[in-house]
Amino acid sequence: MKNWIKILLTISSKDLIVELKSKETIVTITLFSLLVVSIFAVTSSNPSNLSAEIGAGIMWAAVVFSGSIAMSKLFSHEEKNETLNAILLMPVPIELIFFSKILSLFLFLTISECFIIAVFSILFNSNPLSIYILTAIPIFNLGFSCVGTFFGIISSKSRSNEILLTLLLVPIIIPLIMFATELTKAGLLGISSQNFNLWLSLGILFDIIFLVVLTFLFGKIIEQ
Amino acid sequence: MLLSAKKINKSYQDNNVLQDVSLDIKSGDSICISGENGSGKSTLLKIFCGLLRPDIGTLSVLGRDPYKQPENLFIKQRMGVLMHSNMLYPQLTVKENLLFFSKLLGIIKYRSRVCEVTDELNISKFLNIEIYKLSNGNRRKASFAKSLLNDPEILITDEPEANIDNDTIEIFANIFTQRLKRSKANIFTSHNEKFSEKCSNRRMKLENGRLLEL
Repeated sequence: MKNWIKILLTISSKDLIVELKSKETIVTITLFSLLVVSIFAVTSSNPSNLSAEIGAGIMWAAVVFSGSIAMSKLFSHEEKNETLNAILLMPVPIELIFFSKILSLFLFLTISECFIIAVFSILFNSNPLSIYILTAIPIFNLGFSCVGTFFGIISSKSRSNEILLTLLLVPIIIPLIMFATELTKAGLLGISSQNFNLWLSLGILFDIIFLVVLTFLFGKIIEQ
Repeated sequence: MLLSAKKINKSYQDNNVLQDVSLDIKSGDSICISGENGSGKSTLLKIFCGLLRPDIGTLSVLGRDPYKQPENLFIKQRMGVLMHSNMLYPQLTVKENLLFFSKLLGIIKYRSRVCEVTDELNISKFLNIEIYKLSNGNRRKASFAKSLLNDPEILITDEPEANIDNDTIEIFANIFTQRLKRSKANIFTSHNEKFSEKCSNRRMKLENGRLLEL
């Protein structure tokens, strides 16, 4: 178990070092999300009075689309340099490779979300930070990274991988987007969400189901 | 027997690349596989190292099934692979790449092992240079160093001498022959007659999907 954690951290920290050197994924996420949030802020006649529903939608749309572009970039690099094959040739269980990629994406998304929240606060003059959004972020990131890693590796074989990944990813994570926007909405309104427990259960259930099913399927896909 | 392949068949759509390929590799074997471009050499090596699965046929490596976990982890720990692509992270330095793979291989004294291998290949001076800044030849050397990190029982290399200068080819050849003295096995493909003559004690050719002993 101790060894497994060591391997997991070794692969994820390598991803972080690669990212720190190239800054490609973080820059992509940050710039794209900045653009999305800015366009909404510029086109809105009164950004300060934006409804919580639309505000939550803008925030998570920025995260989803910038995240999916960053994911396809990450995996297409792995495919181009055949570095994923290099890891597959190492004595590392396939499930661990999957978990390490999830961990890396989780970290990248968290960093970019911090940035998006900061930009959102400034442009829309509202503070989305609340216990709700702090609950939504890790649950959303886990599910998004899990589904994103799985489809990122599949779509990296395709020439139009960026479009393919978004097309595969977005329909599947709709329950997760609903969960995150609902909690963010409650956070923006500053009231307690009536269905907090229900949405929380949905988010956690989504993560558990997809983590179990995709971990199993990932092994099968890689074998093929 | 270090590796035993029986009646391996592999096709890509209608193209039958490998047909009933059988091969046994024992300790001390150094096998060179030659053949025209597209004859299936790389496909065969990819099957041997577990990157591809044959359509039909059985494969046993170090007496274990390479398609079952955790048996394949045992095999991977004792196998070195160098494919056409160098399979290194271009943004990382040679040292960072080698340390990363040493850790995954579970090498305990990984720092000293990296130094040993890079000294042997004469690439110590490139240790702190990012892979993307290196010439193709030096990238190849770094990748070869990666395949030697675990002092593998079986070394599978696809045209190891590609892009390499004559002095380094000598070093590579020396490593291949030294390994045989320690009862390790090598299997490689090559288009370089001199290199294959020097490094192999068994020569084979892939022709029309069939593996023929020369």
